[in-house]
Amino acid sequence: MVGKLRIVFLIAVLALLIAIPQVFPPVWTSFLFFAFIYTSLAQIWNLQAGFTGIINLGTHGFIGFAAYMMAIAITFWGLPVWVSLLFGGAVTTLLALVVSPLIFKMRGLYLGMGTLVLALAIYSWFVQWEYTYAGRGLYISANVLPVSLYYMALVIMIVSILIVWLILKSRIGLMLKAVRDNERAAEDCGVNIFRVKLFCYTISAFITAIIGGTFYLFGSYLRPTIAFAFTWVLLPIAATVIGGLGTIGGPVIGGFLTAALNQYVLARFPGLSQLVYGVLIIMIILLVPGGLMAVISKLLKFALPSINLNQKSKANSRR
Amino acid sequence: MINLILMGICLGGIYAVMGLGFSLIFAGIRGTMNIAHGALAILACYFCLLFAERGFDPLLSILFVIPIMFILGYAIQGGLVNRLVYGDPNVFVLLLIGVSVVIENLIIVIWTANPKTLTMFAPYTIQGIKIGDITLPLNYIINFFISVATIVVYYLFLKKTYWGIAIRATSESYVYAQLLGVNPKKTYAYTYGLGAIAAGIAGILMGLTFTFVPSTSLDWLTIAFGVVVLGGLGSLRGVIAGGLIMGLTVVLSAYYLGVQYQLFLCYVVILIVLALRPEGIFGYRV
Repeated sequence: MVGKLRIVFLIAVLALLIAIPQVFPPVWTSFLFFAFIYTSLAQIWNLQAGFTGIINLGTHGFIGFAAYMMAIAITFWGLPVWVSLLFGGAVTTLLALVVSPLIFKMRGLYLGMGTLVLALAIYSWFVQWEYTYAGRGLYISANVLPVSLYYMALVIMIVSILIVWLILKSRIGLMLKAVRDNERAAEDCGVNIFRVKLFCYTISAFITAIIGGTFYLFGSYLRPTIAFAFTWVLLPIAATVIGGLGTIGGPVIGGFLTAALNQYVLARFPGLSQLVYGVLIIMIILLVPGGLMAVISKLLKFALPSINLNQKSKANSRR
Repeated sequence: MINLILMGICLGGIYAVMGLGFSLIFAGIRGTMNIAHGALAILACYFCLLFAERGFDPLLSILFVIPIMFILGYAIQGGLVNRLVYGDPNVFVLLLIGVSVVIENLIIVIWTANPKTLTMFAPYTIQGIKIGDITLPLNYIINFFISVATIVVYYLFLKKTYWGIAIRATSESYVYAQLLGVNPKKTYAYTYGLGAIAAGIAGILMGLTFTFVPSTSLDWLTIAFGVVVLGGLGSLRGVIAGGLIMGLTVVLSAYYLGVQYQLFLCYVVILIVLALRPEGIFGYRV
């Protein structure tokens, strides 16, 4: 009964989201576009951090790299827009595959710093690469209607939520959680850590790349400082932490909330937005470790999958 | 060539101090990856700027900035991170990202994001010093001596004083340290405070040599991380070696490949070392 109700509810929401560009003014579409982008980014970040234990601090590397690859394909090679978008995704996935043997030698927090260094390396390459006009930036000569980008973002969001949901339902999801909770024990139980992490990392790289490409089709101008802005790391972290780490609903709530915060509150005080996110991250980690999902679940009295936030002395942490 | 190598060594001294704080915090506080390190270093630069604008010599104002950095570090660890210190280390990272973002953006709000430098407040540091037939900028020499002094003071502090020994004991095992009458949480706060001082000193020295903007903090964080990765976490010898390798890489690559490649090469070196020898060249557990 409840299951049927839920499906009806989801279909109704979906129909509403599909209908919105036809009915409401463009302001709504642009807000929802950002909300979808943030939600899917947060969802993917959460797949790595909340379910696999990869604290990825290099999201901006993939976003910028994919956007640049797409821009090269569109502007210099004259390929069609959607082909270029896929091309950006494919090249980024390839990059993720190539560097993963390097990165997954590291464990735990080294891994997070490794992803950050990787992103900085990509960034410092594009800052000086004359082919893409180095720091001066390049325009993406594509005419895509905002409405089609809206639908693209909607599709990305649905796909990313579905992927995370399917992964968690499957055997791989169990393996991922085992790796997150205790890498050594998981290895002893026969989980191939490298393959599990690689799987999670490449899928995340692909979706992050598509997100980046779609976003910069909307902006249509690329510069290293913008394309590789640290905001791309901060936003998914803020959205996930606010919504609730290690839940599927958390990033959705967080993504829409950060988009709303960005659009309606922080746009009036430029420069303060990152500050507010920083304060929010600190306060939520300290005061409400489970994020908004924990609050909601407490109010509605349903159980959440447990995540080790304040758990004392984990076996794989240092003494 | 000798000139370049000497410059690399001088730069390596600052990098070593940058890595020293990072390494201390990592080894001392249960494997905390101090993401806020770069932000603390850059904040120290702006504090120094505050004093320099009021007519103090930047080198002298290091002395004023040291207690400020210690109090700040003590407050961050004692007030925020200590609440979660026995939990999952991944959560510290998120918390410290929050701290670093807050610091960086407070700087933007107060001082704007325009490039700043401390060099103009100490014009005498730009002149060259002739030793035999090689010329070095004076600020590189000053940097080198301050870095060496800092490292020696830290070494003596960790070996001789009560809190130094407490820090080392707690990094071995906080349970046993507690049994022996050391308050681990207070020790963690001291450790973070000391790490923040090292970050501050290194930051001011960098600020005396280069221009900086608030987002430079990420570069400095990576330098600290790189030094520690090259040398091995939690070893003083490793930090010095890592700093020197890093400094030489930066200076030599800037000379032979061009300035635009120097950061790229730096990051690639870090990634390669991370992949080949994750525990660092001199790596061993504290």
